[in-house]
Amino acid sequence: MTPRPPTVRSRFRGAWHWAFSLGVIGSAVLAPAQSASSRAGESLLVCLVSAEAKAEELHRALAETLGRNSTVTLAPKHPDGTLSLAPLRSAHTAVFHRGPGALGTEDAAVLREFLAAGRGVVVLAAARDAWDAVPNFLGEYLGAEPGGRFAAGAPMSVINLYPHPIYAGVERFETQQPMPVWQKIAADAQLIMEGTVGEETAPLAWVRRRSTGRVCHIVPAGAALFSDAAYLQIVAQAVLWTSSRPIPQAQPIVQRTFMPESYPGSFAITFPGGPGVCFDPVRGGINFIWDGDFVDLRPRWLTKQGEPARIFGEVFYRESMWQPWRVGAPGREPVFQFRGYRLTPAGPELHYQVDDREVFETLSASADGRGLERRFRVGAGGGPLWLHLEPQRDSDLTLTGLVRDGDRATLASSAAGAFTIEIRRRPVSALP
Amino acid sequence: MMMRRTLLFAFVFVHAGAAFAASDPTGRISGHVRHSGSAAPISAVQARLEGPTLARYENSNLIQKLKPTGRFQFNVPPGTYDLWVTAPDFEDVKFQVELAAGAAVERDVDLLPLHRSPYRVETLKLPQQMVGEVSGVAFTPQGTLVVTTRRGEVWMREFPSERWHCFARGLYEGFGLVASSESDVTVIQRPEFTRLRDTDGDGIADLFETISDQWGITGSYHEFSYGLARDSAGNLYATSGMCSFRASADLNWVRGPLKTDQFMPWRGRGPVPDGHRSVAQFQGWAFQVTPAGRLLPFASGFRQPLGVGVSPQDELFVSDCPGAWIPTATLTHVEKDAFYGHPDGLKWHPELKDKKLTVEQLAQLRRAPSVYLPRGTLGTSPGQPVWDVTGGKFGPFRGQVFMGDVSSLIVRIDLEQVSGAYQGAVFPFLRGKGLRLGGMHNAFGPDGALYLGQTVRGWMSSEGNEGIQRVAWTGETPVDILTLRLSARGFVLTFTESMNEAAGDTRNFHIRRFQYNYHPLDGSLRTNEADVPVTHASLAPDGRSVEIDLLEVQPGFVYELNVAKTIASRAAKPLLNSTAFYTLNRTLAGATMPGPSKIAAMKQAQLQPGDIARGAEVFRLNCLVCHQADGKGSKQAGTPDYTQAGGPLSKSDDELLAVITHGKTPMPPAVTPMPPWGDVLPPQAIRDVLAYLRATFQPSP
Repeated sequence: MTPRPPTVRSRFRGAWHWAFSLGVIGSAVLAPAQSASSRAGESLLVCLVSAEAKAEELHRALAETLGRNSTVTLAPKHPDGTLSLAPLRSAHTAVFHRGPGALGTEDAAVLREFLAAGRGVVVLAAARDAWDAVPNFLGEYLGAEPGGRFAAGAPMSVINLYPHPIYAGVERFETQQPMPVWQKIAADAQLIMEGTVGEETAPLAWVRRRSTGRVCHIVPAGAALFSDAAYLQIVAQAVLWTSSRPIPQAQPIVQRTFMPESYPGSFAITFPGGPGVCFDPVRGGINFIWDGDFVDLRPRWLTKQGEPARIFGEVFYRESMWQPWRVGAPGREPVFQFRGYRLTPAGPELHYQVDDREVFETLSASADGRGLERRFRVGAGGGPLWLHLEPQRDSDLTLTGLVRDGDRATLASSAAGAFTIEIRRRPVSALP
Repeated sequence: MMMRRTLLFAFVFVHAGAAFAASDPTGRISGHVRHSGSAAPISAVQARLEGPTLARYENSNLIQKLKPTGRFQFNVPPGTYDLWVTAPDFEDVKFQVELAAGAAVERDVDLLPLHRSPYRVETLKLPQQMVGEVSGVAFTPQGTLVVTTRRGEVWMREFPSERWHCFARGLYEGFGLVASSESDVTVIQRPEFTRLRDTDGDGIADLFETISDQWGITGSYHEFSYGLARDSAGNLYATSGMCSFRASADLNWVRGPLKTDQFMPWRGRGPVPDGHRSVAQFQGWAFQVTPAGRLLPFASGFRQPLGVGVSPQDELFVSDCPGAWIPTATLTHVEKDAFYGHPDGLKWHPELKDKKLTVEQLAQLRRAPSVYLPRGTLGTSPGQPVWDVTGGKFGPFRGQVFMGDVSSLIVRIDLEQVSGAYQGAVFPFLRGKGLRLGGMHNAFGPDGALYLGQTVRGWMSSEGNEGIQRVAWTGETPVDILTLRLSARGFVLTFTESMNEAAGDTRNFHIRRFQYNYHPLDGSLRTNEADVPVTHASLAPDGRSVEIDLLEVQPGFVYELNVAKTIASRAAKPLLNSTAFYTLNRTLAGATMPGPSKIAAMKQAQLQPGDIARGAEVFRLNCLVCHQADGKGSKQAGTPDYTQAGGPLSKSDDELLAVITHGKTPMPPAVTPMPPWGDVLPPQAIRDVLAYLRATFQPSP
């Protein structure tokens, strides 16, 4: 498809600046960066906080699901029946079933200290009356308020799992339990599970990446689920995600949709520990990269008219609307033709043609989750292959196998070849 | 010339409506709907009012979904309306209402239950994780059911275990598919044709090959890529719907060139009645993609061609939805390089894109659809055509076409080739029995059942209306009209069973013919409607067929057949369905244009001198609001003073009959045109009203 003429593009140059605002929410709420992979080898200490009757059953099941590299401690009870939250002092992540209930003064302080420390929080079926010690917990931490029974207690006809790493390896999750309604969901909450009964839809799980840590709320939590392997896998992976630990089976998620500031049919590619990438198969480049592992498709899916998908996280790399490739003369735009893609465990391998040169580009997340590696295999063809590089404020580019000259990177040979471009986000402290 | 009239018609009624509103002449049509036997309320009843004064609404109609009380009420301008009342499992009721300014018409409606059909509707249980917006249905040669969803997933129900698994995710609104095997599926998604392959045998697609993406798309929500069908040579076929060109259209990012101007600019006042427009390349076209992956723009003139099918003879058929230039839903045999009606896609035509065509030239260029599906009885938005090649597993309708519709209806189509082109008859096939809305994607399964993928997102209530249903034949022969074919003198009907003697009686066949306007309004009402006398009926000795002769057989009309309830099988079983619509584009002799008409001549001969009393009533119902009771006209409506010397009544009767019949553009400073009442009123009524004008309003000397 022939690219749009510059005169048409220039009409929307102003709109491009909107992309900069994508990161505004993200920059305010992002958790301190610590990559999942960098913590892969550390033992994970988890504290299960539950005063419910099935606490021990959930404890055993969760410990078994999380496996050997994790230690799950069940918060013990004081003689007066209240929970002792001492294990929270050393825990990386806490799992609260409904909530801690009434607490003594010292335990309440431990809880507040834990929540302020930016560690992981997983809540199963939060209950307002179980959070006396932190009265603002539901609104401030979970970012939602309970609103009564959903659909008069009818079971869900559909449970929609929006693509997210905590569902890795989960083939099917089903429950017939009635659900409560949660409302006033915070703008920065990433809704990852919804249930439907008839025309009504209820949020069933969401995550938040806040400066005070990662939070995940999973609404379904009936006793029957504590022996459901799929449910336990979701909870265990929520523990890993809130702890910023790698999720073993998690793979990049590839979704074509209508992305902001992109041609229709662009790719949202999210890597389990980040980043998120928008690849545009019409212009033939990466429109932007954001610090996040999720894209919200509901704006496109849940209404008749639809809006572009919603991005969570700060955009740290962006390209203009121009096609980035040149073949032969550095000023000549070649014909770009997208050919498809292959899913690999590391990331998608994109296939396209730039004039007569076949290009295979594999996208993968850098080991620390703070960048993107683009590995290119290029077939033989006529003339040198140029890539136009645009100045970046928030990221650094490292090129291997290309000759860089200002804003141009060149593969001089007409023979087949390979090269790599690594795009890394500059340290957060360096950002304005 | 005809086109100019229809354009004027469009123009006029929009503004006639405005004039009505200004003087607040609204009347009321209301009533209750109930069960004819028990008088109990009926669920899911819909009342639809259709009439020329509603031209500013989609398809010139208003629709109400009735509450459990069964009460309907329309507050509308005076005029003549058709009121349809429909409900699942009940026979449709349609009647005409004449509403005077400020009047109230109360009419209760009793609905008769439908006869029992030997087809049952079953709902497939889907995995809870599958959002049931099913947008494509197909079977692999091994019998695995494969579906696409609007959420971009491809699911498979394995055969024979019936276990579901998700084969692929991440597509952008898949809308149909061809399933070559359990590891090789081709999908039409919004931006491209894509081949999905599972190369490592884990049951999940890992290779997504772009077969073709050489057409334009925008960010508009309402431009879908429909399909998918494949012929025996391996060519793929799909269509591209037009962009909904309203304020919400996102045209900032358009793949390919952008053209927002209309090919045929709207010349009426106010906004374009139907905002669908071909703004990106080849929107409104059918495509062929060769096995080598080359996309060929195949044919043009479509609006929202959401059904794409290939016949057992490898012919491409496409269904389209009504709107501008597409007067009602259609099924069309699509031939290469042909043009099928909506001109906006001609912007991308290699030879016609820069031509300034007149409406008359367009009308000549346009090929007629194989069948029209009159709105109401036969739905609104038809889906994918599929042919019954089940070898009798689906009943006696071998070789016929079945199409689901968004309005919980399946239609059956009996096509025949007449003088080298397809035309034929459409029958309602199945309503009620739990059939849901949105079943526009269909496939016959290896079990001989018809599977319908259903999605209604954004258009209708999704409650219980999304997913997959299976329509299966119980084995009992349905008593029905099997075929309706054209003969030299009329039609030949065949039946699925031997019929009683009543089928040999001309009085038991009522045939009416009508045409549609080809115009830029949102759909067309029926025009030139007339009864066609049945002159002879001859029932075959075995009772399986009847030849009916008509007073005349004219091409260019849709013929509506209604069969009396006295016609039943020899075992006294009633016909399941007594209605059919035959689109007669060509006669057996090859004629495509109507000739001298005995019916028209007869109607002319039957005309009486104008009746002043009847004319007064016609004036009160249709004219009074603009022309005023004293005949002095209205500055607001821009109507003249009949009592003024040298005014309209100074013209001859022939001149005035022509103005009333064909309408008139206003003379400045008047702005409101005179509607072409010939499209609404019978000729006798026009004579009557003229007689009333002559007798009542004497121009001043």
